[in-house]
Amino acid sequence: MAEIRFEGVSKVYSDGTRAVESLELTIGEGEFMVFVGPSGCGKTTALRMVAGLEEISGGAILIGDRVVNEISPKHRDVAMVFQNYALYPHMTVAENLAFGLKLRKHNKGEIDERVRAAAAALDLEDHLERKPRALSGGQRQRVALGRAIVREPAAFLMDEPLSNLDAALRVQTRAEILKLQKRLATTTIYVTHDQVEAMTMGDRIAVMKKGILQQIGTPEELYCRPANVFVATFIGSPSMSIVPGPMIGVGREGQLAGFRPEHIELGASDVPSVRFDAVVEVVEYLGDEQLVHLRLGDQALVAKLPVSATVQAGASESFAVPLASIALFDSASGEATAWSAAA
Amino acid sequence: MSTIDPVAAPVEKAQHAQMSKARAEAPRLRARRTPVTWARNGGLSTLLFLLPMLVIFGAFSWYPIVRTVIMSLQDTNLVQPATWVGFANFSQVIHDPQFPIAVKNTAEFALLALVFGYPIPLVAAVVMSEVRKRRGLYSALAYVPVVIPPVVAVLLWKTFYDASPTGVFNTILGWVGLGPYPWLQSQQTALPSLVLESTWANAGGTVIIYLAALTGVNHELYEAAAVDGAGLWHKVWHVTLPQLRGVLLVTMILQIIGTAQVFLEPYLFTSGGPANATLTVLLLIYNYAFGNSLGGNYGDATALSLMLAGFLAVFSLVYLRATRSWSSG
Amino acid sequence: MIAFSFRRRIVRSGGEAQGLVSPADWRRPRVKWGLGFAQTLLLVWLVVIGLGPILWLAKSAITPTQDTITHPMAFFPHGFAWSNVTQAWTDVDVGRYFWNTIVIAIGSWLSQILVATTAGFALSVLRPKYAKVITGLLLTTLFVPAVVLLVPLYVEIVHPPLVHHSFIDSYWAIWLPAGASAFNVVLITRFFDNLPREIFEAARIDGCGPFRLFVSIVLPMSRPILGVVSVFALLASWKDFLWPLLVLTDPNKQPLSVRLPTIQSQTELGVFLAAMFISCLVPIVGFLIFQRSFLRGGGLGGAIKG
Repeated sequence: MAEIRFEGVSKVYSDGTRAVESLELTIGEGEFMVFVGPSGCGKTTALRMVAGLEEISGGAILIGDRVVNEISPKHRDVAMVFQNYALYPHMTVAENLAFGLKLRKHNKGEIDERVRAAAAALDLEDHLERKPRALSGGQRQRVALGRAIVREPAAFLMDEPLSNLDAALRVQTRAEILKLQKRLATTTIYVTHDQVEAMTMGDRIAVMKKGILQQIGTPEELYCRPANVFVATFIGSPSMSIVPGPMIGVGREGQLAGFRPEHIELGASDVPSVRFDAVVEVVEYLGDEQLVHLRLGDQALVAKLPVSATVQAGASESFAVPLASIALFDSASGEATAWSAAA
Repeated sequence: MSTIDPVAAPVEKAQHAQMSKARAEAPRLRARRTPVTWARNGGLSTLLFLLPMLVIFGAFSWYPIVRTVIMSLQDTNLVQPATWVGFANFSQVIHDPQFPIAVKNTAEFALLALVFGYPIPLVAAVVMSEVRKRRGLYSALAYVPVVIPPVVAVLLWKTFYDASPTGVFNTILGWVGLGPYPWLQSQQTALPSLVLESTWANAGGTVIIYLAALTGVNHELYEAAAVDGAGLWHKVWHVTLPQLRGVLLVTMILQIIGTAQVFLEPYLFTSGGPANATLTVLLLIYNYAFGNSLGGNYGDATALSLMLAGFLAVFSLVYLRATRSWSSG
Repeated sequence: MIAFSFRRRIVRSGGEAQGLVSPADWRRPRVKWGLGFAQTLLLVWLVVIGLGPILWLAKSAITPTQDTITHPMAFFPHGFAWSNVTQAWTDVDVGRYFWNTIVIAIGSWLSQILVATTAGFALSVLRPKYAKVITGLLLTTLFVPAVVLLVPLYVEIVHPPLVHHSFIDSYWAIWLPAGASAFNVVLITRFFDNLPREIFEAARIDGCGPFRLFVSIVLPMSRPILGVVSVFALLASWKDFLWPLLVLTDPNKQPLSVRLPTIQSQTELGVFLAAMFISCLVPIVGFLIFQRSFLRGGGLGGAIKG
């Protein structure tokens, strides 16, 4: 269990690509931190620098109170779960789990004990003598997790561990990982490109883009108080609609107004709101609600409406958005200037 | 075991603060590489892994290549000290009356080997690739001659080539009223006899290469061709052969390079005879270097081997250039 | 012509593999009989040329010399001569040469495996900055024909630099140069290149240093390619003639291939043929057992040289 700290960490590849730029970030003891962002945003590079798989070009990474820049992966006391699991194909499940412990010269009895405990926790007891190729994707994934937890490391590093599972298994495994992490209370960095995964799993989330940290906060903070247009549109699905403020009569010239699909109401609203007429283009019926794609001038918007609202594709309807639910952004910098247009 | 690094000692808080200040001031300093950081980061163990290769290749590949060039410009026989003679060895070789004979024989050998050995494996491989049952048996049978030690193969065929009417081949041909033929003992038939044996010994390898390439042909191409209305011959002509052309070109140049260095057959079958009818370039090199018990003429031998290597290099380049458009088209 | 314009776009499907001759083609009588005939003919021909000489050698090895000379194609007109084999093994000392061949082959194999795996590991997995230079030097040697090395290598063995002691009649003169096979290094490096790097990273985090990574992870994952390289290293050594002829002058140290021409001139035909049969026994039995590695390697040869 340890705190992990990034102090002005940068990564520049030999071809000049700047993958991570002066990253400042502290992950508390036992915290589940998610790095999220589109591909190429530097999240995986940041993770790999913690693991010791990438050299650190500038700044320092601390695990506990130890600077680990010059320390080999072996001595960093971290365990990693890889996207493709990276199980040793020539070893059985038991040997895969035990390998790291053997290299650390734990005694035989203790290794057996820990392997058994991990296998029990992950429901792998029946497969201990099998080779990875005889396992299903979900089982392999659990072995990869097991290999991390037997080590009882200071931190777990997970690099998109769910991306190779099918949708149903992904939801189930998500919950299992969370349960496991809460029980062990091990500091965890979890990298994903999937904002739903990030929102559902992270104690806190670090949103990155092009090597630069955009915002760090709890899921709620990111959702309700996005620091800029990028975070606002990246978090939440369907994403926030962004239109020039004056178009709907809020803010000044040079400001953007953002509002989420669930805040768009059909017809009038009983709280202070902006109102606009938009053309309904497509209606997606989801059962419990419906997604309505709207066109407002040259802007495309999405509204999440109750199924009771009757809208017709092709018709022009009147919509309202409460002022308190509209965030304002500076259109030049993209930075948020207010999280409510009510004031 | 690991040369990477020692476990860092726990850092005191004060020290730590100091360090982060230093880090903030000079982030670049850390990236500087010294021999010590190089060794710590595994540079030394990497070198250790490369060591066997560097030593072995240095001593038995790179150094001898350089040495060949030096020796070809020297008069040297290991007995007297070497003297520099410039290109005298080369002109000596070119003016050796045996040189044009060896070149002609080698060229003839290579050409005959192409005529015998090039189309047959291709046809065999195409037919074999369509065998539905026991394809393994076919390829195993074709490959058997390849695993027989060449010395055994040559000496066995030498027995077969016995020129008397009771020789193996003459007996078999006698059944259909042919022969007896002199095989190795006539200037006309000696070289083709060598080529025949060499083709037998090597064709299996080529068949396997073609078979591997044939299984690599995308089956959807055949299906697409069939849908387009192509018959069997059309498919062979428009799908199989175009898909194989890269491999076909490579095996051809490899075969030429191989047969240009033919040694074992002329050495063991005929020692270059009768009347130099099977004297090849490599046999000539061998004779220069090792044929004389009084001491080798290493200068001439290396000069000739360099000329051969140079010719093959130029030939390959021209060949690859000439066929480039065809092979990538 | 239309067909191969699709070539680049088509991704291979996992469906029923259909070759040149489609099931529809097979139903056509001309194709069925024509191809069937061609295949049978090919099989007969392969049996004759592939097995024929070996079977003749096996038969003649146990046939009295006189019968082989006068009626080479007859089947044991005057019974067997098992004594050929025993005579070859003991009187002609084939047993000793056989052993020499094995010792030479195993040493050469060890040297090739050691050089190729360590170098492949360094170049592919550890990847130092200067790897490109070394790979370049390796690839150049691939293009240098073997004949260029013959004379200087020989001179080097007779008068080695640094060590002033001739290696003539020492097996090291064969074992060490055998290791300098750029083909092996390239083959193994390419195989290592295709192993997932994530596994090496997982191993490093698990606590592997480079040596442990090599021994516990990379080598066990490379069994298929090690099999291919081993089979070819052993076979090549078993087949080698010229180099052992040059560097081993003591008959007691020579391998079978070098001794056979001498045996031919010194003994009667039957015994000689028995000796020949003995010397191709090991490669043939080896081939039958490790057929898969042999044939896979044979196919690889074309792929990698190309």
